[in-house]
Amino acid sequence: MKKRFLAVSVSLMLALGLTGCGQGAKDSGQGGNDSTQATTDQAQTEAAGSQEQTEKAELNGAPLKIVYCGTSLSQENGDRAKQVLEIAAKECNAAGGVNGGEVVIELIDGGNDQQAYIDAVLKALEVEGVSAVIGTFYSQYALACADYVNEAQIPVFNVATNFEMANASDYYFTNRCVDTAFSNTMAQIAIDNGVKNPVTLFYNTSNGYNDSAFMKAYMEDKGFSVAEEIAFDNTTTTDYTSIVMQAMNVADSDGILLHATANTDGQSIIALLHQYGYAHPIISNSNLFSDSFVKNVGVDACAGMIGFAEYTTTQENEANKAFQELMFNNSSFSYDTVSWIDASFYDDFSLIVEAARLAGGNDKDSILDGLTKIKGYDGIMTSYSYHEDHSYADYIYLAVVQEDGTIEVSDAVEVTH
Amino acid sequence: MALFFQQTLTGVSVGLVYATVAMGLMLLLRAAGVMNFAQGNLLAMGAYLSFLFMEKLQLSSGLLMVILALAVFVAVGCVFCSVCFLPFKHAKWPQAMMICTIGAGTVIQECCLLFITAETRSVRPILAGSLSVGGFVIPYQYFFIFGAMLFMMTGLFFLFEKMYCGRVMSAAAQNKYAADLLGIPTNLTTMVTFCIVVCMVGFSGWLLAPVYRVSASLSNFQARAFASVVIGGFGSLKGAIIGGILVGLIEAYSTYFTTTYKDVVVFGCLLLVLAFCPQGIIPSGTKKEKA
Repeated sequence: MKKRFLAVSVSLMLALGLTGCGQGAKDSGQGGNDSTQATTDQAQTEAAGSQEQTEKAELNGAPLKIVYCGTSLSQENGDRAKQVLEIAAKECNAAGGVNGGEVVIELIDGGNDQQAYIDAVLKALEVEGVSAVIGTFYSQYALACADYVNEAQIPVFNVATNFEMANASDYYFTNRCVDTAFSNTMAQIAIDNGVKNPVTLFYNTSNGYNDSAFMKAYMEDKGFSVAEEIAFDNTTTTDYTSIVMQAMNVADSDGILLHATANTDGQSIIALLHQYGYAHPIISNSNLFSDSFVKNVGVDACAGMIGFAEYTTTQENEANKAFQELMFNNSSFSYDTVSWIDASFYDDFSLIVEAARLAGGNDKDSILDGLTKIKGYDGIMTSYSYHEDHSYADYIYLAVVQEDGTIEVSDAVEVTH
Repeated sequence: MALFFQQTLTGVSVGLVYATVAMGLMLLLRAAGVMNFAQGNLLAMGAYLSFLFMEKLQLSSGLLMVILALAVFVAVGCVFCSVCFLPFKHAKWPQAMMICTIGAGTVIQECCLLFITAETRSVRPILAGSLSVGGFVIPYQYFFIFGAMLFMMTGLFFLFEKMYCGRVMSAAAQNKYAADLLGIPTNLTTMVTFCIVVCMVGFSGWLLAPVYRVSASLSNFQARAFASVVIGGFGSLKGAIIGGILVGLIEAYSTYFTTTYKDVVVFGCLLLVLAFCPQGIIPSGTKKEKA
């Protein structure tokens, strides 16, 4: 009885499938007949025009599909990206979408190592109808995927800022500015604060080494020097005491140029420098100028830290206020602080949307076209314009952590690309 | 010279932390025959629990927090034993148990990230501030860590060297069949051992959190703890302590030559010890006792 029922079901399914195929063939045949009816030149022109219109109409209704495949979704940065992108898409769709189509966010867990990220990028590039991809913090991961991205010709926004990324792929972009600009700014801040022979302390990725080399070159170019370059491995080090001791005791040094993340390495190093009473200026990269960082490390430890910020949480800025309100008023946002990471992902999203609007289409080619047209677009972190090095930030800001823990942001420095 | 002394102090401090993790490893190895690759994750779990109770749930009573933490650690110990030990008790391939602890470690870590926090966070120390004597700085929290280490070391020494239940645990690990015949409840003994280890490592993580932050990177201590066990002498509790301090010192002094490749120096020393003194500095007495 069971076998008979199974046989009947399979037969019915086959029959329905064949009917469906037949209908499809019939439709396409009808389409063919229609086109053959256009015999005169005028009719051909009209037909071509109408086809273009139809294609544009189809394009306009097509979704703008953004795939996030950066840091693992179980890690803080990945989780923040997920929440921010979903909120941004919801907001955008509530306002009518883009070019008549809605924004669709797809999330792929990028894992915590290079191979996991490569796998995630490969999946992201194969998502049907993908318009753009938002990728990683780690430039070495991005560089490892450059060939795949070049092959797929899909625009990828990375949070990473290595200057080599744009050389590796025409399809890599970053809303931030490249690390050469960051390093030069840090070195100049050191000089402005009377530091003549600092130690560079940085994590041992290509990004860190580049930064240290650029800072050293800048200092030397201005007639100063770097006392020592000290790298650390932020993936395997938990206890930073001996490294900090070493950096503090470099002979004749008069400051530290710190390139660290806002995680264990940055938090531990700043806390230890305070604990051991380091008396010279500490000039840090932008990762450390966030309210959440100051809250985690402690106001006393962070007070006096100088450097530059990309996202100015305390600045009296309507865009920042609106962004923070948007995040905190949304139940999907589970963090009690808004960081530059949130702003950065939000701006990546906004730049992709803006590119689609400028190009009038939501497909990958339109996004690529639109991205080169962006000029003076006001984002949350700064204003953005397309630059030859595939970066967008027009300005970064000088920053100092005050005694009460607030981050005072003063002059905006125009980024030299 | 001042730097040398400060690095020595740093090395001994972090070495004691490695020693605690290494002691937990030895305890499980001696009492249950399990090489636990989740030890670092259990340490991190302790730190995450401290953040959960102190910062997230804002519990104010220290006693309540300790009781709750104890309950969680015992529960984790029971589940850990049930998942990683009991199913493999009679397995022909004992390495399966070891592989299972790797899986369990990943689950513990991901649960902490998912349910407690994915951010690197800080927690308040028991006593804030540092003791500064002639340029040497020791955070007060370290004194609590040293105290806890000493307590654990003494406790373990008495457990295994002086107490009947410690011998029972060792017997259950060395020959389960014989222990069963003698009427020793080996499953219960092993489960108790797992609970003791989780409590020990968990509370160490709790005490370390104010110094090293609440993050999954705390599990990195495990690799150095393995090195401590081997350098000190595989199977010896005293060896684990000495090995831990040695690894801490090697790591601290290695920064004179390299800050990036500290691990290369530590594990290079490990290879040298294995090549020239495979029994470690203090060889285990088990072999002699068996003979």
